[in-house]
Amino acid sequence: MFVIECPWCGPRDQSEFSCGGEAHISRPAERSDMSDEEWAEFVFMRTNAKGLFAERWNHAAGCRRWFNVLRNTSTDEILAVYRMGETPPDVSTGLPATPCGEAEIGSGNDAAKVMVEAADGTTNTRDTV
Amino acid sequence: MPDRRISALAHRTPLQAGDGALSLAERPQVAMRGLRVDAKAANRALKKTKGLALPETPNTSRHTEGVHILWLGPDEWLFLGEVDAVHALRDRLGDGLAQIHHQLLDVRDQNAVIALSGKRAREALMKLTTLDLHPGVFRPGDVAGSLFGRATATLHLLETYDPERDPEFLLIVRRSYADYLWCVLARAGREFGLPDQTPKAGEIMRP
Amino acid sequence: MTEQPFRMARGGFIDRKRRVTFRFDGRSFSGYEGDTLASALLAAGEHMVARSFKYHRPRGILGSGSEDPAALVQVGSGLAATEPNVRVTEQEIYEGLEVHPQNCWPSLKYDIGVVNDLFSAFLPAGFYYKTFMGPPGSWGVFESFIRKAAGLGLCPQEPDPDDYESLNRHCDVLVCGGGPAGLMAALTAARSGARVILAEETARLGGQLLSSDPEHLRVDGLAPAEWVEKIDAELRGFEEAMVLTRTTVCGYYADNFVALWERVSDHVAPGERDPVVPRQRLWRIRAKRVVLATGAIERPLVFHGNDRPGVMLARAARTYANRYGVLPGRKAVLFTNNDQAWRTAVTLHDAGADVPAIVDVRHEVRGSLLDQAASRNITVHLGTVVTGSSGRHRLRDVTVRALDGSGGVTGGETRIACDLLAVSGGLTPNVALFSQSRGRLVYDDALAAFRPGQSWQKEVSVGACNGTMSLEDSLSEATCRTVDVMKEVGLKAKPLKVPSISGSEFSSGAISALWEVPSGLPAKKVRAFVDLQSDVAAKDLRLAVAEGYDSVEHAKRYTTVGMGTDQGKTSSMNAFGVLSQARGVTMTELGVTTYRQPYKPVTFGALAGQHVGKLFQPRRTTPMHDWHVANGAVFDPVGDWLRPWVYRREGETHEDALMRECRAARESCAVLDASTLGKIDVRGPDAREFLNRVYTNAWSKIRSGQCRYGLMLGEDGMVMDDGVTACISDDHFHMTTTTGGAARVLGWLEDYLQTEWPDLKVYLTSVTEQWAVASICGPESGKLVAALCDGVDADPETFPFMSWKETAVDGVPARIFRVSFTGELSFEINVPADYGLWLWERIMETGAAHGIVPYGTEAMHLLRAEKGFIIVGQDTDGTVTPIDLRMGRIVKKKGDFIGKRSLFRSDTARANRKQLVGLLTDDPDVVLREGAHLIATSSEPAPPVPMLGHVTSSYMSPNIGRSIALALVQSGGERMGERLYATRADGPPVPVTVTETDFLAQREGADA
Repeated sequence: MFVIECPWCGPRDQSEFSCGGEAHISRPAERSDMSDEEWAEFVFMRTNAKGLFAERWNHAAGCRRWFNVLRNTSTDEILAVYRMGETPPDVSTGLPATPCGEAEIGSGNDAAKVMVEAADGTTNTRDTV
Repeated sequence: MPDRRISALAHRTPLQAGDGALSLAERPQVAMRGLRVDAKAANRALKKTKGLALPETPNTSRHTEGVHILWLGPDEWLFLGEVDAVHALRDRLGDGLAQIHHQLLDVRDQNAVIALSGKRAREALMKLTTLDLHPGVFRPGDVAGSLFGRATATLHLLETYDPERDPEFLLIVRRSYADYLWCVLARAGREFGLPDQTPKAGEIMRP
Repeated sequence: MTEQPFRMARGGFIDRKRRVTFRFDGRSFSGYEGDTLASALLAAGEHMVARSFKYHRPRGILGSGSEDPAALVQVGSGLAATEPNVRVTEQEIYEGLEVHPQNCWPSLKYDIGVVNDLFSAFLPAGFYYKTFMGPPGSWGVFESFIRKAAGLGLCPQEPDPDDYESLNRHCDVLVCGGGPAGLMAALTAARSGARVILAEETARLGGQLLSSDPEHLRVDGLAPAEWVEKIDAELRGFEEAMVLTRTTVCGYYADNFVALWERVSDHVAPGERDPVVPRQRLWRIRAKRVVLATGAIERPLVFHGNDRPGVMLARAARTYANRYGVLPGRKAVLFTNNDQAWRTAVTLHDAGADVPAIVDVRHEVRGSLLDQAASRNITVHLGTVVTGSSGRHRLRDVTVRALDGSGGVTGGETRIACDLLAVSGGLTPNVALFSQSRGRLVYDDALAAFRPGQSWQKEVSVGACNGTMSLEDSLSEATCRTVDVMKEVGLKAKPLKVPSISGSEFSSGAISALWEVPSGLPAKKVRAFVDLQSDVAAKDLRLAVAEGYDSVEHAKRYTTVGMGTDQGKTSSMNAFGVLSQARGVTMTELGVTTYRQPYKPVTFGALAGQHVGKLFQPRRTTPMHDWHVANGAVFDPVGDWLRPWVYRREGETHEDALMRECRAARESCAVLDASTLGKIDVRGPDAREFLNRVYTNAWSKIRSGQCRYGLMLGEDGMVMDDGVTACISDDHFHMTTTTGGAARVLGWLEDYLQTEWPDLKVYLTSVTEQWAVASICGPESGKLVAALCDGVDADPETFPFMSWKETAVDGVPARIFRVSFTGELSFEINVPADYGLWLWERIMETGAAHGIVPYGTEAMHLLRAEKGFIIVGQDTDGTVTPIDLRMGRIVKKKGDFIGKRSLFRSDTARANRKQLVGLLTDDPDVVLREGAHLIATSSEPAPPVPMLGHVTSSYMSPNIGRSIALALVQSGGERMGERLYATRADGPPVPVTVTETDFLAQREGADA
């Protein structure tokens, strides 16, 4: 259970929320010339990103508002929360995962369980005894 | 003639722990109105109706003319109080909002109101909810919608509560969940002295 | 009654005035209050307490706490309150405690399963996988044996009689571990005014301080236990500090969500437990910061014969002596590769044991150690290892040989008689929680172990779990890092003065990592165990590598090392060492296996908490519920709701009751409790436009006072919900949904309003439970409604179908909708829910003269099927469009609505989709099975059988006087009158004829 910061109610337990899947997929206006493929893209096709992902959440047990969340699906880190209709904030700096590779830390993946101690002390490791 | 109105928890009698640490009771007489309206527009309009303002700070409430006005969402409030007070306020609201797109509904029967009070009330509630109910965090007048066990409900710490005394919480819950919530609250209060309550059960179920 | 021959004359945190008797393996034992099973059994001289999982080898007590791998027993008797796999090192004794050995038959000492050990050569690593992959049939041969051998201990067979509870807490700082570092951290935090929770796994605070020598060690001039008590007392004085003992931090999850498992009353005799307090609690903590002070776990050395009872971790031996006042052996040998373990030899010697030898793998050790040994006349063997042991159920002696400097042993064998071998392969920082928090580990050569490297969550590790092994450094680190943490949460804190320490234990010192001790024996004969619970030996790990299981995760699964209930607390580090050597890679290159929650086994009871039995799930009931119960209703669960399914009268069968209810609905009058239907109040100037967009039909022209049926589709064009919506006033509508769809539909509509159409001025509020609803139907229903309601003329001319009126029932305000579930003349009376029961009783009273009969959901479904009315979720399954239902008439051509474009997708628009039709069997008495497949031939052809569709609803209809069914059939609309066959599992296909869905109309047509 992670914590989600509802734009209105503040940080609350994940159990109060329901996830609505990928964000920023707007319903196309009715167009007779729209091909089946274009329509299917809207109805059926969703990104299944590893890494940065914009998704919709609803504070179902609280204020019932829908809002957007930028989450790293590899680490469950929530990088930003913003209201409907707002553009996603820029979170590219300090992002702890690459969308295609493994997060350096936080994913629980084998590749990220052990590290070599950095010589320059960039990590929070203590001094060697 | 017996009362035709039978509240959601009419079959339950108030519970009290021996030393007053915790008590549980239904508030069947409380009237409720739900309001949905644009906050800014409404408060502009209501300014004319002196003394009426909807709380715009999330998860807070305002106590005015015997009615508690609870923030439920950015465009949603609950009015709660004695029948006459709520009716009087409803009429004034109706007037004040006549020109504004809004929805004002009687939700008295939709919900049950459970009062939980006593010095152990916060502890008992935290067995059921992930909200932080520490006195420094959840303060008089605060409101929060959350899960309580398996039931969604709105929690309100009465702003009339005196810090010298024990807190009094109201839980506003859909009427069909009221019996469940009553029983899990009683269970949460068992170690503080509340008697066990058995949920309605024993129906013959289809095979 | 056995005495306590190994109990020391004094010492230990036990209450010698309170003698406790308990039973183990059919024998009676005694101990003192404060003893664990392990300390009490050791006091009696019992080392062997269990049998291992695979080879049924004797298992003794290796550790002194949750790290112990194999000293597992069954606690309690009876079929309900018995618990398997309890560690003797953790269970506290109480009067009358019943303990049984497990994984052995007929008894602990004489166990048939020992034959597995003789065949160990045939049970190699990856045994299961090899039998799966082996010659065809080998799995079949082995399966029955494997199944019997699976698992340890016995499951309780009856419901758990105990109560459990889960509860939530928030705090500024959660301190995990009540040892010296944890105490220092908690006190630092508490003094700064923080909300602190300190969780300690055992019954007492103090950790290793309780295991250290009370005569030597002084903390601020106090004996260790006195210092602990002082800190404890101060902590308990803070209103915002909570100290939990007997509480294991069992899981570290996202965003500092941490689970604590408290054994509230497991140490109390069942008859004496407080009945209002749960047996165990699960604390669900959300902490702003977590301080991990979980200490270190000693690892054994892996040598031939290392699994014999009497082989014990050096620190555990010290713990038994100092914490419990028990001498774990009278003749004790120490085998180590590090300094701190030497303290055990000193402690045991000073406590009265004979210590014939210290065997250290290192060729050189510090002079101070040698002095300590010399002053006690303890022989020291340096550069030497233990190469074997003997003794059947208990260690009798060990053999030692010198190391040859090139990985082998040399020289003669020395046999040393002993009844205890204290071993230490070094201290492994207990990084389980840190790793669960997804922090990264780093290998530390000085420790020959992993320690925390880079944090991921908001936690800090202090003390031994961070690799800081000395007491002074530990205390200083704990207070300093806690101060940093306090600042992060916005509190002012000062580091505490670090207590002065004298007579400290030896620090870890230089470790000479030796992952597998050479024995000089042929490889095949060596039984050097890494995992004492799952019986994984070093050679199994090497075999895994040889067979290609290079990844540490693969080798773990292949050999099952560390996969037992101890989660490899004592074995993982040694396994990594053996694997890294076998593969010739560094520890960092090898990596570690995953530390998963829970840290140790947690009871299901604690996880389920109070949410069991009648509190498992809310059961939603309507205001009329008590009447239904009192009048023979059998209930149908619909979502969380309980709805009357059928009302059974005395002596009636289900069929009788159903037929009676259905006949009354068409012949006189019947009433349904429809309170559970979803109701949504829709309000706003754009309400009509909103309805136009969410329903398939048009809403622009509906006038106030009118009602209309609508279908809602998903964006995929499939039917999602249906219901009637009434126009209350120009901008105000009362929408109804299915019972099961109520919450989902409201959420879905809100979603569109908030995200797609924020420009629409519409508000939605659920009023499902504001209204209690009685739906009265039947030819007499008009008269009944006229009698019930104030000033309502139920004449169809003045109160037409699909209209509604605001009225009152004896003064109670009501809305009456002339809509129909059943195709029969019907009225739905809505009153505020508090009046629901009153209304229902009044209907029954007034309706008696009209022959009123209450009916349930089964009759409702049947009545709807008679009329060809669909049930969403029964006749539709998320793959059915309105066109498939042949309800195209309510799909508007002009204007958009949700799902419209999907109706023209090539697949949705194709002609041969399945369509809803009626089916009549040739034999009117045969009722088809719902779900039966439809085929074109009178007998089933060879597979693949071409399926034309399936039956969705099927009933014996009393009103039609025969069986009826609805079905989804390929191109069904074009098959009217066609002959099809419905398959059966128990007979030849049943011939049926395809018809229209409205069976009532068909009957009337036939009658005319």
